[in-house]
Amino acid sequence: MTMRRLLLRRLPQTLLVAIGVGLVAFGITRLLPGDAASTWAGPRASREELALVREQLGLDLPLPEQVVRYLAGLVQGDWGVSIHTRQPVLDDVLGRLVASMELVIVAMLIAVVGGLLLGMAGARWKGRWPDWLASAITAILVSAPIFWLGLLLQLTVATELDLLPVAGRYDREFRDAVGEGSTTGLIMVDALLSLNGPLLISSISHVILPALVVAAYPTGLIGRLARASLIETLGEEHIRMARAIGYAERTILLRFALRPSLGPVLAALALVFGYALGNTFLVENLFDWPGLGSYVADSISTLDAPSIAGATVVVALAYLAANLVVDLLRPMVDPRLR
Amino acid sequence: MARNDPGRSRAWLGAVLTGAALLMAAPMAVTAQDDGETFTYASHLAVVTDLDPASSYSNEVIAMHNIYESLTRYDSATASVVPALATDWSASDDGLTWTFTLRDDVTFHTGKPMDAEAAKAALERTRDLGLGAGYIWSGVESFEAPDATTLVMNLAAPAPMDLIAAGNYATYIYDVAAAGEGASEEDLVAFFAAGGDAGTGPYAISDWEPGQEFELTLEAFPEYWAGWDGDHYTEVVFRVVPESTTALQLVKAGEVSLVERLTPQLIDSLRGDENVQIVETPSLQNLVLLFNTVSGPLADPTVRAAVAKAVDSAGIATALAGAVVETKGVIPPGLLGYSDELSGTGLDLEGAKALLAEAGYGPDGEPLKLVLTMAVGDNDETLVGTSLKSNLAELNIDLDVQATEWQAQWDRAISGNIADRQDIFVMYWWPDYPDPFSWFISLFHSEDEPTFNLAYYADAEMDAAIDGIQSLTVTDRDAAEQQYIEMQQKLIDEAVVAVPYVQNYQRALDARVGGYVDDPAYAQVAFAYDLTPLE
Amino acid sequence: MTAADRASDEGQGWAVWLRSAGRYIREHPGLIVSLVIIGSLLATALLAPWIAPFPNDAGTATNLLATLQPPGGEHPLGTDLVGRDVLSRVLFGTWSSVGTSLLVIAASLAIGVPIGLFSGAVGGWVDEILMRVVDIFLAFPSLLLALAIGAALGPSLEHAAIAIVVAWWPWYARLMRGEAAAIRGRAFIESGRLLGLGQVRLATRHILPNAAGPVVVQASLDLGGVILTLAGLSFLGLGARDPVPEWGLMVEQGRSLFQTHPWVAIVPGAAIMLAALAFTLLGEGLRERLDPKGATRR
Repeated sequence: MTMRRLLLRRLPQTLLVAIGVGLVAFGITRLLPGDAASTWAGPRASREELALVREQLGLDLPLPEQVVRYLAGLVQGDWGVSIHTRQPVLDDVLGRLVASMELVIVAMLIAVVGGLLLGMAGARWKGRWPDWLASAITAILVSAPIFWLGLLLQLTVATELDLLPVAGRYDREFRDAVGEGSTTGLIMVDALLSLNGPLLISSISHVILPALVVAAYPTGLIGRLARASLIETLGEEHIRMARAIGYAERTILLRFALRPSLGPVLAALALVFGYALGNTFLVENLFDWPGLGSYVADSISTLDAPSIAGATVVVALAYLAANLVVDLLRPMVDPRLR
Repeated sequence: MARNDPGRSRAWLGAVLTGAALLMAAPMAVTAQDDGETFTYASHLAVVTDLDPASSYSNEVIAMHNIYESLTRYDSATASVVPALATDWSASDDGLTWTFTLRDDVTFHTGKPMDAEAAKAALERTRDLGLGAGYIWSGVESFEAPDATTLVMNLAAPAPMDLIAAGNYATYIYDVAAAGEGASEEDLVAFFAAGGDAGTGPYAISDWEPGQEFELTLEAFPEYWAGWDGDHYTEVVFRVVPESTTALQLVKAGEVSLVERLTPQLIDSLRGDENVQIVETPSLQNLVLLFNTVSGPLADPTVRAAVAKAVDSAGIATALAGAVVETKGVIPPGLLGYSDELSGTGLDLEGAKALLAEAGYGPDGEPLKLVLTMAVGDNDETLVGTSLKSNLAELNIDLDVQATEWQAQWDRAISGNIADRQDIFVMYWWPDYPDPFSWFISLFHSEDEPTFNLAYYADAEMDAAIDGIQSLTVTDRDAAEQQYIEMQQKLIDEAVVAVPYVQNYQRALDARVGGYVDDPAYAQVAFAYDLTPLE
Repeated sequence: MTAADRASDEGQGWAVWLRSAGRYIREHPGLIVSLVIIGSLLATALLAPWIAPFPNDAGTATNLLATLQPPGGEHPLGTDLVGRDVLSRVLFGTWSSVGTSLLVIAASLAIGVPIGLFSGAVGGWVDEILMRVVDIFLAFPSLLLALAIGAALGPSLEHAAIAIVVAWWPWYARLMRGEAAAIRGRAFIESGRLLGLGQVRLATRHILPNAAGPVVVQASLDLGGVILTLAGLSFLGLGARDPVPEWGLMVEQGRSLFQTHPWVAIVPGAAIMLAALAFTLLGEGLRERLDPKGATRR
């Protein structure tokens, strides 16, 4: 199937799902306890003020009209105003999403590299001690509650050994450099673009710990998938042939087996991305990382419906996009899918 | 699709290497270097909810006192009122006319000189808006500015205006023309909402980023009337650090100068650390459990009294060793009317059982279900809630402990639907100025619509006592003290409130901060100008 | 045959059995480890009232005179902020954490499997609509969806469980639908249809048993994920509430004490990890037996 045909088939599907996502988000805003108008107007509002706010927020309209208004708002970039920050939700969530993405991207890099290495170790020495070790590591990584892992790493690596900063995204002395207009919003990339070495170092040292924690589950998952996939491939005819010809086992693994085995790993990549994104919700607060996760945590404690819905939508859209990209990439890596 | 092109990937590698080389070569001078010393205050809550000096009544007070000044200031160490913007003051014999003499060398951050007219305009606006703690000026019938340095307040009833003017909130003198001469009230509100400031204090707002970790930055105001000779911090940063473990690390590493609060366990772990100093001061802040006197099971005074007897103040104080001091009444030690002779408080489960049996409840009667609301994430409150739940369980009462954010907790408490309201409301209270009046006027005076009287207590006798107590404080202090004690006993007898403890402020400071003294009259505030950076 | 012969035969039988059991353990270490852990979890859950040193501490009891005791002596794993025995709470916590997770999976299966089966067996536009609905639910990372729904419902263990079910059932619907659609095309079902067997009968009698393997495998693999998600929701304050001894909540309660009194959070966190590990290994072990090709499929 050509890329274009695949795209043509997947895009309408994705669009449909995106509308559904909006509907679910709307449902969440209506399900949330508390009266949006009274939360918004504040405790001292009079009945008249309440009615006015109700009208402004469109809460007096019939439900179907509210749904349409909400969806139209989403498309037009009007995602409502956050109750706890009083800023437009779209600005809030996009700004926060970028910070989360910085964390997730680094975590994904760690997960893919670490996972593949663990998987290859397992497949290369199947049934022997490196396999056992790698399997034990991946099993622990997919089983450890990551907020707990975060606490443990903070205590050991940051507090006791003092190797990395405990929390935050960069050191304060770079506040001005960061505040003065960022091109991408990704501090690391900004630092690279503006050739600000110290900021880059500061930002990397801050991201490592939370990224490792976010990467834990994805690494384990990729490791286990890669091992299974590699072992399957290694049993195939062309590998046996290569072995018979006399290639070294390492060459076989890297040159012949790795690429055909990437299919299942790649297929799972979107899912893994979703996990990583979800995991940020559990650890950002721990590391004072100013991303979507800590934003949602704040929104939940203030029952801030528009913010929760907005964050839900933006994450779902990011996840959808990731799924689409992976679907488009798969045929490139795995020729059998073309 | 492009084939894997080795040439291309090598070019990419080259680019990365070049970039890395450039980075190494990048001069360290890119780093912003501060000229002076920065005082960083770590707050576990977001700092700013309202920057309007008239209505500000929340956590931003920690910044406001560095931006704004009041006519007078209270000094808890000497228990006296000391000069600030006013150098001198006096009251007429009947206590109805107060005359303040103002400094003549003060400039607002807006550039305008501070004079009596300006002070009058600011206090009038604060009083007339009546928001936040603005009520403290409600007894002032008129302000007068006969000349540039004289401000006169005419009262309807005697009140300690020197003390009131030293209050924590709503006492700031600010430039009402900050949004421009002739600008409307709306413009002024918008000016403050956008992060503008119009104070006379040593620092001015230089950067405010709502929702960010480094939320608020203040910079030294060069024309500050007291001048900048000697060692002072030139920048004050308010950093939001929700996690106490993180705050601990930051203060150990010298990355923050002061952590406003830590758990007693963390404070203990810091003792002996030479990079950190610990300052502990009994506060004027106590935990109040307000029992719903109007709706739900606690509307029955007998049930209420029984529940009050399940509050284990002694046990809580033991468990929170160091962080709190056990108390009985609503007035904390150090203020007029404090008494440790009040009776009828403390754990008494047998007494509670007897009372409940009378009302048809208790272990042998009907089960009861109560809702307690409190702040989320506060270990001390959690302990109080869990302990009370545990004790009430023995009384066949199921206590539903709900920990939420303040806004949600408060919204429920003031809900128009009375049935929605909680049975027990838990919060901290501290005075707006160092006087016990605040507890009574805010928590126990009847209200048409509840704001902080969340016991919904309405008692004509109590109202009358509260209405008269301020003049009594000015005219006959001993009588006032006696009356305060009686009022507290009445609240205990009617089981309106339980006050298990007063907090001890336990602050962790960078050892390089000199001269820090906690003044409980200004809860949580660090007056950065008064501190010295040591090296 | 003499008695001696029989004895030696039996001896050999034992040896053979032992040897094959040994081989089995070597070949399936994960499965064995998981069964041992799950067995102990089950045992501790059932025996908690008897083996927990302070059973009341899993309920409303507190002991303000013995708060934050370090592990040892009367409290082998120490006490928490209000003086409750951590060991007792962790033991009882098996019910709230693992028990609830099992219910969540059961409920998700009960919703997802029939929908998927129906969708796959019927096909056509019904299938199309149902699967688009499933797609919408799957468009959210499951933790996020559970979190948003949990926030909407308000904090309690039951609500957290419901929220996770809402986020989880679509996985089984899609999996079941895929299996059902694949089986529907197979020869024996075609012939069944030719023989005039009803749709329902075909679905329940023939498609369901054939598709059960992968679903069972997936469900046991997911249990670990559900345990982690439930703990995560509690950790964020959307799950169980004090004094319920839920492991995630216990970690949350030990969070600010982590530097000074790490046992309060370490022990329940380790319990979560152990339980999740056991079910992951169980799922993988089952997959080897029931659905060997499933390892690389998602």
